[in-house]
Amino acid sequence: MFEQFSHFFQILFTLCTDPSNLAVLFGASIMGIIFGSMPGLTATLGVALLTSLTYQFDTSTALIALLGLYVGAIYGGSYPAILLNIPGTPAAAATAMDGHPMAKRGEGGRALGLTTTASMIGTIIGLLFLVILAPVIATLALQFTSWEFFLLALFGILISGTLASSDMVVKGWIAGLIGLFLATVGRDALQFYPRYTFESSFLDSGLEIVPVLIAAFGIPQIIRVLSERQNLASNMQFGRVLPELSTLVRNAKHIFRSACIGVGIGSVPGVGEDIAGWVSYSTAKNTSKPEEQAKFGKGSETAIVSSETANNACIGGALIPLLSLGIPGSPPAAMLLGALLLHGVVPGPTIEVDHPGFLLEVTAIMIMASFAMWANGMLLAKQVVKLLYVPTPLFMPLIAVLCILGSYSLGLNLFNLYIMIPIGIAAYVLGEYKFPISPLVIGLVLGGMADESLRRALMLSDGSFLPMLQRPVALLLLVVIVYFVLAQIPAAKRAMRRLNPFIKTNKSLTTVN
Amino acid sequence: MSQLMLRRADLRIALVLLLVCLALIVETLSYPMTGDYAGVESKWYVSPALFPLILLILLSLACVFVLQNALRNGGAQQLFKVSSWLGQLDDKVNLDRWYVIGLLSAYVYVYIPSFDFYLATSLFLLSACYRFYFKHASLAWVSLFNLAVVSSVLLLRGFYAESFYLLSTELASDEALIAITDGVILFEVLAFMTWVVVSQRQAAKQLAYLILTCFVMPLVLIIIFQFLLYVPMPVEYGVINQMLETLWYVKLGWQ
Repeated sequence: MFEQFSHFFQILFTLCTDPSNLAVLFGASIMGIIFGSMPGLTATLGVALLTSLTYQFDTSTALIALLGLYVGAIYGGSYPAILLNIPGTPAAAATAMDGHPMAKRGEGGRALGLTTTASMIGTIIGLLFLVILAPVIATLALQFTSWEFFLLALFGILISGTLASSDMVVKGWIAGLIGLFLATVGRDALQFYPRYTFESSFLDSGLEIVPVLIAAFGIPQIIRVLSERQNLASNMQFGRVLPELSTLVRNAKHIFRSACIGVGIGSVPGVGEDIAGWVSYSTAKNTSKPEEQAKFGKGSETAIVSSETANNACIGGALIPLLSLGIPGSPPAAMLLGALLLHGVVPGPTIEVDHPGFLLEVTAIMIMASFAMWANGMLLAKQVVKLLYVPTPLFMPLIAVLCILGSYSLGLNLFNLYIMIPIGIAAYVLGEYKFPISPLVIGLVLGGMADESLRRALMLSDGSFLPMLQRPVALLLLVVIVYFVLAQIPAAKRAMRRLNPFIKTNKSLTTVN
Repeated sequence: MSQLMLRRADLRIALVLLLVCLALIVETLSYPMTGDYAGVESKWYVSPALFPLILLILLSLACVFVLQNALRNGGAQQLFKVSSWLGQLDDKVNLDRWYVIGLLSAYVYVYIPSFDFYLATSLFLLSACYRFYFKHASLAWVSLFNLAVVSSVLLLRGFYAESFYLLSTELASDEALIAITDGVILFEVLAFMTWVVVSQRQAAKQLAYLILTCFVMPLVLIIIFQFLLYVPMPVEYGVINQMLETLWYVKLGWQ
């Protein structure tokens, strides 16, 4: 343990003493805050754009830039949420509920200060969980065989589809299945047979993840923001930024609980910071005293602290399955996965074997990123807000150019751009009609693993599915998958409801006894 | 969005997906399921068709479920109306949506592969920013302008290119063709910009921002990508590109 800590501080010291690292970190953090604070731009899009710019950096510098931007962007969403009542990112939607009334009272600076500090605390608690839990998960994951990997991929799609759907659950599954299918394009890994390449050599190696991700998240935003003509222009009272210590102490239990909620939700594949923010907000409301409950929606500091701590703690949570299992916990984490793959780091159970000390390095970078975010937030809050006055109709087309240039620069071929447009339009149409996009992206990332694992497992068992039922982890995953599917089928639901009275009767009898 | 509208959209999306699934199942069935491939005796469980087939079947089943649900909840209404597929033509948001899609497609499929990246980007930015930045921007004029640009490129390709191509993953490399195209596009951009300046002369500040965004920012982006990140621009013989290279490497002597 002592050795681990000494190694950790050594990494932290090395990273902190390099001025170029600090410059990249602060630059990326400011960029993230700008991205987060611009409605229509998301942490995912920011990470996507920065990925192409970090292509020539070494892995550490690239990670500093990407994580700095990720943390900054999740926090940055609170700026327009508080000042303009327009959440810069979906993650900040819950913050807007109480932050904006506070700003209208002339306490915009205080609300932002609370948000900044809560975000930093949330991030640090999140990464504490990352350090503590990731090795445990990684050790468990090392027991995984091809069956478990196949089921894990399927589980990731099912659960992200289920939780990310705001309409029908099956729509999330459809998006996930489309993602898995897109991953099968190109020559297959076992027999090298060309699948759906239509004799195009560009498709032989399959669809590149990063252009598809930029298309799936960037193009729909560009179309949506421009066609709906979102605009930003407002004058706001700002006030003091630095929060009082007494406020933080008063909300300590909410901060800790929200951080736990954030980590828990973040570690579930496909569920993002937005859901963490809302869940934490409603939990804080339900557990507050009646006089505090009455303030919710009218400018409650508890509400702001809870939603912001949870959405930033979600980052650490999302990195747990990303780094230890190779399954991204949220859309920006999916984008981060693409970036890591680009830099030759393959996250998964063997990451500590392939890249010793990688987890500690990520933790050190996250600590640096959260401090950079706090410092930037405190010092630059008033300046960053001025960017909100850049007219969106001038900004979004420039973002479109960046998306296109970013995709082109990855493979230096036009084909990456050609696939971007249809995928972007399809993602826009699907998103408009409440088909979630994050399962599609997660499907694309997990598809290769699922395909290879299934066939390899069947090869080892000579075509028999029986070994799947003989392995405890595989069986558990299978049971959960079957439960998730059955819970959505009306006939199965009715059967479960019929079982319910029986269970209730038993329960009530127990209570009487 | 109302539930009825969602169910109508579900029906259309499920139908399209089902058709695509059917076509892909037919394609997948042509892949080797058993027998020899590349000297390896193949079994059904190592077939490259196995996983895609499972996915397509699951996807089809899910689509059937969505379709059935949509049919039960009135999703079949107005199925054959064009507006239910493409949106209302008199709806401003819908028109702008199609405008952005069309502009992005023109930028990617026609502008970038055919002429100088700076010109292509300025043209794209000018069309997008003008339409959404000015209150009384004319959709008809800006669409006509883009149509003129696309037609010019296609005509020039038809006359001067060794073989005409509508879409190609090969970039234009004939220097003479690129120079002529760049000249024509430059003229069109300047003509359109003049028209914008004349028609919006009362909004001087907005015009200044427009010029900054459409003509200065692309230059900054190109300098960052081409000279600092060493990413070559798509069309390497573009007139602005060559001018910048001469300035950067020859005149300023920077490497």
